[in-house]
Amino acid sequence: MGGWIKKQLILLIGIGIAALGIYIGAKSGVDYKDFQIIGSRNLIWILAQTMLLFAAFILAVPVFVLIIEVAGYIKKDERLDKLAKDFARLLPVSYSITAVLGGLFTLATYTLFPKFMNYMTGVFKPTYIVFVVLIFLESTAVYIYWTTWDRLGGQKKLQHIVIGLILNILGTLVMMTANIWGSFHLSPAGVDAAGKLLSLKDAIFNFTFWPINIHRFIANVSFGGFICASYAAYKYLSAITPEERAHYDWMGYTGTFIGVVTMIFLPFAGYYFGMEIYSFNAQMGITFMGGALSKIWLLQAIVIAVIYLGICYYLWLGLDRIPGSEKYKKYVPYLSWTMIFAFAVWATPRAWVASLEDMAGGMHPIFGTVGIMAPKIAAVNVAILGVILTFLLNRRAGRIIPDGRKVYVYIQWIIILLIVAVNLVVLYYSYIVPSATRIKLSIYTFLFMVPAIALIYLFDGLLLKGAQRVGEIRWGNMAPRSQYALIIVAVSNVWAMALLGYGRAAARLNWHIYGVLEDTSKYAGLPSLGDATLVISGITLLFLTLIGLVFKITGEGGREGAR
Amino acid sequence: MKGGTKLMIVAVIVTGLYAWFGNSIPQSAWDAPKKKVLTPDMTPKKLAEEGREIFRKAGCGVCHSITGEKLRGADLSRVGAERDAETMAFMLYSGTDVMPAANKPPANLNDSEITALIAYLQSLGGKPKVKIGDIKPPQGMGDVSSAQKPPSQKEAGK
Ligand code: HEC
Repeated sequence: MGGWIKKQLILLIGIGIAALGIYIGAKSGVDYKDFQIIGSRNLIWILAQTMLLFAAFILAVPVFVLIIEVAGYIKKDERLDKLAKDFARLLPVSYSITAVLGGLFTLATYTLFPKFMNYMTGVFKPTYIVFVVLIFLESTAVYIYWTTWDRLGGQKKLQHIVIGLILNILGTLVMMTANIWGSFHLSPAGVDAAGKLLSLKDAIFNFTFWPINIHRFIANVSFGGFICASYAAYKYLSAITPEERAHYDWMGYTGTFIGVVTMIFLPFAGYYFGMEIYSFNAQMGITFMGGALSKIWLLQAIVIAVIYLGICYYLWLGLDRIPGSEKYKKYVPYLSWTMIFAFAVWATPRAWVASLEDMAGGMHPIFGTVGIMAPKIAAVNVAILGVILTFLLNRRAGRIIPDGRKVYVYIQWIIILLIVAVNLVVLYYSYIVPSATRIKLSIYTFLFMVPAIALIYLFDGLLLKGAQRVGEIRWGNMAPRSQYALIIVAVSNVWAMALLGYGRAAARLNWHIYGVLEDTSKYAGLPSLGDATLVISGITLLFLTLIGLVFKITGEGGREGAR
Repeated sequence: MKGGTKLMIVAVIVTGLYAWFGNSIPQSAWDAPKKKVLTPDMTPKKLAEEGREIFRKAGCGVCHSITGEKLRGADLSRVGAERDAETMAFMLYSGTDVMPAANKPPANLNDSEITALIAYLQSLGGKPKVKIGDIKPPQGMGDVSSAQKPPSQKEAGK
């Protein structure tokens, strides 16, 4: 009980700071205030993004902790339960940090941008109250979930799982409530041209509300997986005993697995988001994709390439610890070259535009038509396929496939070839049909890819169900460079999140609330991309320092889990 | 904590490389558009010159060329000869499924800016004729964008 009060106290401090901000904002009487030295915009930017990264982490970790816990419960595997607990260990401190960051962020926005934020209060007051209630319940759920882990074991495990489920539902609701505000800034609805609220319901369920929910949820889980993998890598590198090494090697692999499986679906959520922006306001879509902000996609392509290749590199090295993997290793060079080629297409220096006729200034002299959108989508799909194949190799390596199951392998190959064929056909047609048809084509591709990928995994599950191994995986026998790959992947992931957070905010150009409330402060424009990347790198390092602190504080307790 | 320091160095290198790359590609900051002062005594020709600037800043060129090239929207190189001012005004105030209305964001132009824009469009393949005050927004599509915004704190406080 005392612990619970202590935990809620930090949350209360966070809420107190936020309430103070709202009060200061209401009394302020000016439109804007400046913040010395780094400027209001940078301060808000840094606070908001760091807070969002933590929020992403605390949303994600319970999701896969629960999945691993349930898996352990079903398979009656103590090891999985330990692993889940080891991830959950990171939660309580992270919650506290998020609460304090959230308080500071609110204080800063209301103090420095009172006109804008008071308007938000006016429209969304009911949701603020819901939000506070939700985070209280959520942090209570975290507390109960964590402290009852051992007490509600064995016979009572199911009760513990139910608490975990409640925690996840609450976490998702908290995220969705916060998304109301962010999506409203981007694509306001339910207000008239003068900004007067007509319907709170319409304001909540605005154009980008669901796309942001879906995109964020997937991205957050993926991000959480990679951050946890980097935690494991960090522990692996400083591990002393072989048992510790084995445990953290396995933990890193699991985190990576979660990160990759979810990340594969991210581009599709991204298209959906982009499409909604286009239908909300075509010019915003074009600005976002092909205009002032298009270079963001170039950067994103490069960061994602580093992430994908880093993961594959890690997995390829991982084959070494699997006895009997030799016959699969010969595929690795082909895979890596395919992926490098795919990313070269993706990063081709040309504005990211939807079609040939969108390109006002003609094509790139060397790369020509490769620079447009359609081949890029195809390239991304190929790269995704590369990651999937790498994963399949990893799962299959060293297993003895039981007789009569070969047929599943053939089915998998057929699906993979179908994916390639569909992408090639769509790519071909993209050059000859009008743009409306082309956009539909990419939606069909997307509707085809998602279940196809799911099917590949399903058949893989059937194929390997209960399959024997040639020998046990030698967990803990990874070269240190593989762990550095995981760290680079995690750092890149944080950077990508911060980059896209910037992109989404920048799409509003000189509007606090697009088309409703104009930014008339001296920060109304956008910085150059170079300056933006400097801030983004700074935010990444700040977040990593803070999360490193979490690792350090909680890390001491983790030792016993490994032994 | 030696391991931690090493990892932080990795993080600094990786983020540094991204920032370096971000700075190595051609740079341009984007400034918020400033409102021009347009007065009734400006000649249509002068107005058309201002209109050209507005055309550029409002992002019309994203969809329209003035060189005969077909982009997402119509080629406007001869629009001055083909359309009268009222038709253009209606188009600009109402927008279409694809084209956002010019008096709404992101272009967010006021009535005089739209008039200047029309003067410019008339100059393409024709002669600018309109002056400030000639163009009235069609019924119910007036200049709401900047006039009725939520009052600023200062005004509200009084
Ligand atoms: C998102 C793309 C887009 C933007 C931005 C855009 N337009 Fe258009 N515009 C179109 C399309 C498409 C048409 C053709 C009508 C239709 O089918 O919707 C059009 C039609 C027109 C026409 C009528 C042409 C004719 O021959 O009848 C004029 C005039 C025009 N636009 C001017 C402008 C101006 C001025 C701007 C800048 C404020 C602008 N447009 C911004 C897409 C756009």
